[in-house]
Amino acid sequence: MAAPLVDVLFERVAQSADAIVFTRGSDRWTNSEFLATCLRLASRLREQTGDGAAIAVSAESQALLPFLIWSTVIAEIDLWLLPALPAGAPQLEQASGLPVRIIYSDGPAFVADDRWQPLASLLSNLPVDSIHRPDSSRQAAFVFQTSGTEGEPKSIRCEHWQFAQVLRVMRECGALNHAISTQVYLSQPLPHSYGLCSFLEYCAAGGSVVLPPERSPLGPAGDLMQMTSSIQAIEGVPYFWSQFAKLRSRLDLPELRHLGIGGGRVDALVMKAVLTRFPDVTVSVRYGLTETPSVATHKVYTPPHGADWISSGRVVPAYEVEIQDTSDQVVPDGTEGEIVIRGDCVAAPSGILRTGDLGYFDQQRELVVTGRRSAFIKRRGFRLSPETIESAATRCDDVVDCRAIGVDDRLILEVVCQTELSAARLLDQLRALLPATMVPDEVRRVAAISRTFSGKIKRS
Amino acid sequence: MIKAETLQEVLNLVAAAMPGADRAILQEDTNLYDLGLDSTTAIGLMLEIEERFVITIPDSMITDESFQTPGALSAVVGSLIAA
Repeated sequence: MAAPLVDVLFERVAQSADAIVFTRGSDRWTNSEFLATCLRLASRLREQTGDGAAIAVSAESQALLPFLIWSTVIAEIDLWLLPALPAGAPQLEQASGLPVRIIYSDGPAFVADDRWQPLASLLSNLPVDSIHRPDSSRQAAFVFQTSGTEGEPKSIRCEHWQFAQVLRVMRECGALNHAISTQVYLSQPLPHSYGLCSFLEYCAAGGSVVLPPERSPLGPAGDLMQMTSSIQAIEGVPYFWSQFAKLRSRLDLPELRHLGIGGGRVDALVMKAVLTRFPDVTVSVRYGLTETPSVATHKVYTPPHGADWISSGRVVPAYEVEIQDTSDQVVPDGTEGEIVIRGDCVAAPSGILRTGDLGYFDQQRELVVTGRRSAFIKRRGFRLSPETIESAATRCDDVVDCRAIGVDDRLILEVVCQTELSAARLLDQLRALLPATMVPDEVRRVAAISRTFSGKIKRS
Repeated sequence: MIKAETLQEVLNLVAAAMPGADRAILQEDTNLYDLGLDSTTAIGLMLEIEERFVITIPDSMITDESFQTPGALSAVVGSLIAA
């Protein structure tokens, strides 16, 4: 059994009490200030919940989440991380069924539920004398609510010890070297599994976390325009990097040395644009699912950067990854099949996760992810990857966003355009980029592409 | 005072950037957030405005209020053209 997750926090204080652990706007906390506050908050949360009860949080603002995250680790309380809930959202009904004692939110009061508490009150009137010291072996967890790319929302319970074990292995194998003593800008929300995982990774590596001040109408990439230039690393999902690429000429980041990509593959042209502006940075690419804290595979690309962004890297030794065919048999390297992840740290029954993703191991035993098994579109006997079609379409003139779908053996491309759509011109451009079997039968203009909480295209 | 031609051009750019926004209903005081303006669209709209009017909107003017209505955006453009 690995050392408890809370040791990450105690180690930070022991190494450097005065180092900054996280910053948001003009507010910043040293390791010792942060730990002292978390210990007091943990004490109150434990009093309020008693043994075994859980807490949920639904917040648009990230400001207080680091305190809540670490306090629930100290207090050994389950923390349900919910998407931010706008007023009147149907998810409120879902929240009413959660097995939790308190629901913290910065949204409108959920009047039908007396468990609802304003997040702004989290640090008010904390107990001075009563400090909770973790001493139990209770296996508390972070519980993610994923919206699901293909089906129903689901809850995934990742226990603290699983995070602790994976973080220890990542440190030992050098997968956190880029994060050591690094000031990182985390663009993705902390309730997102990639957001929480990268937050914990930089905490474990002695990094300093900067959270978006959430002031700019241009989103987290726009927030960067108005921030100090001491940022050394940035973590983001593909959606963020698209925005970052558009604003790249406006960003003054002289200390930037690392970019982290999570949550999916970034389009090659977006990466090219980003790296033309910041050619000397290293880039980490990761593969994992919510059920695999923190990542299952990992690779750091170093400059000079080429056009090859295919591999998601080697397996983190906390996990075993294999590729299986449709008969559940392991296939040789180089052969495509379903990615299956095993290990004690996998948050799935029996520690086995059939990911639903397709991929293969290349000659260097690095994982190449090719798509989702169920997302493939079948048309006229051909199995087509929607991601490949969408990636090509986003290179075409004026296409802002798009989704490929199959309807009645026809391939349809839904597009969001900034100008009047010329379907004929778009199809001409696609014929130059794609094999004939992958050119859509029809192009439809839509107002927006429906995406999940984490920015992935909804497939159902 | 916002120049009529500046406002008209901003309205055209807003309509082009937001396919869901019907040009016929777009007015000077239409709330763009109510029409679904998100961060990605706002970035595209800002870049289009900067290119069309040959201006650079300073960071201090990139606020929620500046993007709230075509009128507010036109006021930003007008102040930068006049400067």
